Amino acid sequence: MKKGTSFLIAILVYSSLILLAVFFTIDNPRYDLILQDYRMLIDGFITTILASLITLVCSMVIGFVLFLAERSKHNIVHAFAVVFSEIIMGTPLLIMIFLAVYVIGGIIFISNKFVLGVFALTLYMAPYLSNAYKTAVAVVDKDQYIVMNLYHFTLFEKYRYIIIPQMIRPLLPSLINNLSSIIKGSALLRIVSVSDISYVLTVISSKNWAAIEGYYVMWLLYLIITIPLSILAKYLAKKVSI
Amino acid sequence: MNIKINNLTKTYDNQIVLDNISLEINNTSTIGIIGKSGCGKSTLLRQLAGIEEPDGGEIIIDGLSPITDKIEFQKSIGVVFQKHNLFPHLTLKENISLILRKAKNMNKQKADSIAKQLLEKLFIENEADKRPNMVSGGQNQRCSIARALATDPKLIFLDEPTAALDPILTNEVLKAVNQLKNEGINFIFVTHEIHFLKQFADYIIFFENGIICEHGDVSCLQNPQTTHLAQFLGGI
Repeated sequence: MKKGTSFLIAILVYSSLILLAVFFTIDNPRYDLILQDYRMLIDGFITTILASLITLVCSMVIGFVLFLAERSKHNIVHAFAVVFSEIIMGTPLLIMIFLAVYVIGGIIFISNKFVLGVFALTLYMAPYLSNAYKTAVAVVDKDQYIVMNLYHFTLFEKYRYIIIPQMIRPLLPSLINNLSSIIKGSALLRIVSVSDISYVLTVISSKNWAAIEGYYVMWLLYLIITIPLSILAKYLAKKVSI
Repeated sequence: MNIKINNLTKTYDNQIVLDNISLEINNTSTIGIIGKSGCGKSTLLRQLAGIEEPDGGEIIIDGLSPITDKIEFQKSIGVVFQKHNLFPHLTLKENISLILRKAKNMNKQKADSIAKQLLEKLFIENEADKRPNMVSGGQNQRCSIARALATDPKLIFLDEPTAALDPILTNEVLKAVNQLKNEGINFIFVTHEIHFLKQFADYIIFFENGIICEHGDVSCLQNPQTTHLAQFLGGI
């Protein structure tokens, strides 16, 4: 069987199973009650996208600083960066959000839950972005560093003219995959009352006694965002490898 | 070109690669370093060019030390590597103009113009706007020579510049370096190509197991003084 046909069959089978679950696992499903608050849903959708994009940009910046620190020749800088990454990667996102909102927020006198939630997501994602940079920088082989050193490029010049331009292509698929992880991770922001998709749907479904319908809608909305991103990441990965 | 090497030593992972080498060569234009694979000839070249630091000993080339006067010394040299080592994301012209902007503090327009002239000199001006993966190995190697020329060097180091090239492309490179030799540029090079060596070198250094077995005028290839060199030439 051809690859395209196989994928079409797989997509049809899974879509049917999802639709079966959505419509036939609940007695008298009341999706109309969920969808009547569509303005709230749109606001939640926008909040999720906004929080995720801001997180991606901020974690790209902090991840890059972490990446540079991990590559530092100064042992102390390197050690602090490595231990920081290990601690963050070993911490569940849920705890990170609590720490940001109830501990760090108090210390830095910020009470805006959206800002602190994005801060938590950023800190959580930074080591993953740092790892993505580490993978991307491997495309610059050691022979190029010999040439850069021969002509006495400064550290800034090495990154500006040689390293970063070559890192961009292999980095793109990884960035999109990380954006997908951020979008899914942002669902936890509801525990501190940030009005993202998952919070809005929890409110709407509780109000209408339609909890399961709420979760199904939430699932479908996340799939609508993350599946195109995943396809884009695969497409870019394929283009990069050519 | 005058070279003086005293007690040069280099080890990698407790393995001696350069074993207390001493040598003095005066008034020579092109020096070819030959020997079996892994004998340490590329290591010697890297120490002479200041790319690596030796564990001990001293080197003086035309009054400068690649160890203690590294920055000043490296301003007066060019290096051509076996794998050309061009930056793959830049075009051939950009590979040269970036070095001109960096080494000579030129603006982009002037650097681009000189880069084009250098590519013309090496007969690859038509490939100026192509990236290294879009041109042949010989064209890349000639671009690498053009890049080495960007700093107006008095001395160019060539590390097996024709190792990855077929005989036709090897001749392209040979023609280019001979032209530069006639213009007064000195060369120190490592090669496996006996034809390239005979056509290009004035002086040869034969290397084996980290020591210099024989050195002298290129005519010693016709009449080797040591059995090691005779066996090496016989085996080619």
